[in-house]
Amino acid sequence: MILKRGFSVMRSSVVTLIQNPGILYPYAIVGILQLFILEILFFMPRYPLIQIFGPMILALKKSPFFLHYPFNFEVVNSWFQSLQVPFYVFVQILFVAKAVLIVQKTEQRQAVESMPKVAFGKYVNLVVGAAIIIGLMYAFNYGYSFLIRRAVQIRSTSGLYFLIKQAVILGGPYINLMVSAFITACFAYVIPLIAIEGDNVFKAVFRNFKLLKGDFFVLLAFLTVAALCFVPFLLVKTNEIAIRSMMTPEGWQMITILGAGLILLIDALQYTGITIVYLKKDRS
Amino acid sequence: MKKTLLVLVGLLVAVYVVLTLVDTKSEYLLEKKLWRIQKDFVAIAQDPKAAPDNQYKEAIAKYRALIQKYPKARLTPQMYFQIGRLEEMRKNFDGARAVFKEASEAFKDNSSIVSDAMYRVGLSFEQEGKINDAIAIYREIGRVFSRTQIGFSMPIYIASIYRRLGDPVKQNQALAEAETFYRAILSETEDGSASQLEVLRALTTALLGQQKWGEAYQTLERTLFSFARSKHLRPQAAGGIVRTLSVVGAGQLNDMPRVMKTLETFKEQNPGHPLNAYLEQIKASLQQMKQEEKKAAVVGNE
Repeated sequence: MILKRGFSVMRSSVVTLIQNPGILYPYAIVGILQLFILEILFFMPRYPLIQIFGPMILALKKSPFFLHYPFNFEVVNSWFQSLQVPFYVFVQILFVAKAVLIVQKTEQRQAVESMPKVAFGKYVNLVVGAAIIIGLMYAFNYGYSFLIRRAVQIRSTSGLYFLIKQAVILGGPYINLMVSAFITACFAYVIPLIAIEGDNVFKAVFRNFKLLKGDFFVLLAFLTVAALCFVPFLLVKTNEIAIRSMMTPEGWQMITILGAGLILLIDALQYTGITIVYLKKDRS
Repeated sequence: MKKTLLVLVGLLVAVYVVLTLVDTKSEYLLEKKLWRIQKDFVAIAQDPKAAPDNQYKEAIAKYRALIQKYPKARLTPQMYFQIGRLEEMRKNFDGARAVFKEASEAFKDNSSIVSDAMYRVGLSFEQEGKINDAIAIYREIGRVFSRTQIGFSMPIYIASIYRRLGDPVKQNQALAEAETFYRAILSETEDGSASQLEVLRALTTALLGQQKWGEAYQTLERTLFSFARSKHLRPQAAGGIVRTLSVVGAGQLNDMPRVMKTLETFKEQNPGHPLNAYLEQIKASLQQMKQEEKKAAVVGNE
């Protein structure tokens, strides 16, 4: 029953996005901004950007190798990953809020002619809300890294302990994905409450927990199904060494870009669904 | 909203175009092209005998095309050397040497590249089994380019060839020449410089190889005392010197008091030095060794 309702939310979300592609504009802007960051990172080892970034790369990576092809891509990827958190908290969340407001307008059958504006006060609350959600996800990741370090120490090559070791190490990315969906479900209404109702972040978190009663498992099912769209990319990532050896560094870079695009699309799917559920609840 | 998106996409493309056009100084494009050809090289090197002649020709042609486009780039010598390696892999040693000579002609003002190219000529003679020709080249490198990294290492390398061939007379002769060579350079190097440390190390190798234990001990002692506080001598390397010094002093020279005195003097001259704790360990193990020797002597007498 819960799973069925979760799929129903998924269907509504997909239909809404297809019928109202305008919801995707904020996400498209986020995508372009991410591409711009990648572009700068890509040109870092080349003139004239090398004059600014060269000393930084040397200082942080401790080797001139990373200023040259194809090792520069290691810097591109690792720095891009490191920038994802501040980018999400300070930039992406603003556009997620704009997308939530567009969903609200389309649900109310209003025309969307321009990008909704978000006041500075709302923005500050959004940043704090996003920091809480992302902070929890990273806290879990950090804790899980300890578990991986412990699992690596297991010497068994068969039996129960070996199975635990394999599950912890190989299952890491999938467990992270599921936990991310769980944390998003726990704080699902925080962003819509700040964006639509103008609640401050603490009130939004409090109301979120109240509103989640009865909906939590449906949202969890929906968010998990949406997150599962990322599994093909995880499969590619877990076989990185084999796949990379068959392609050029640029080809692998394209896969990374596609991964970032996929995450954005899943975000769009998730927040559209959450907003639809929230608005239905609000109306009822 | 569409307009905003179009403007942003336009900006993204414009930045890409501008940054691509502005980059006239870096060798990024060359690195990229070379990386691709390098894959062909690796494919051949994995099984040189199985690679058909066409594969060699194609890879060489690609390197040649790149050399023509970037005749004086930082990576151009490497391209020449890779062609030479390919020629060696297909047993065309004359061809390989011609390429190495071509490289040294193209970069005749750069002694480091010329000495590297000459060294590769020597290596190709070695591969062909023409050891005397190889040694003649190595001697030439040592004579003309003694101040390059390769030239500097040649005298010891020549001795190692004779050791490999099982010719102790010529090996000793080569080591004696190496000793003279390094002593001459040592007299010209600046005290406390990185190059002086290098020379002292090479001189130690030459002396140890000749079993000139006393002189080797003195050189090790000089290295340790002169570079105790130098950034050029890492603690791990300093530990290595202490170990060799103890082995030579206590083992070969059978002069344990001398070793003890050296270690004590070092401690006195360098209070608080990170090596001091390790020196204590060495002293303790030397004393233990001495006691065990005494016991063994007593047992022997009984």
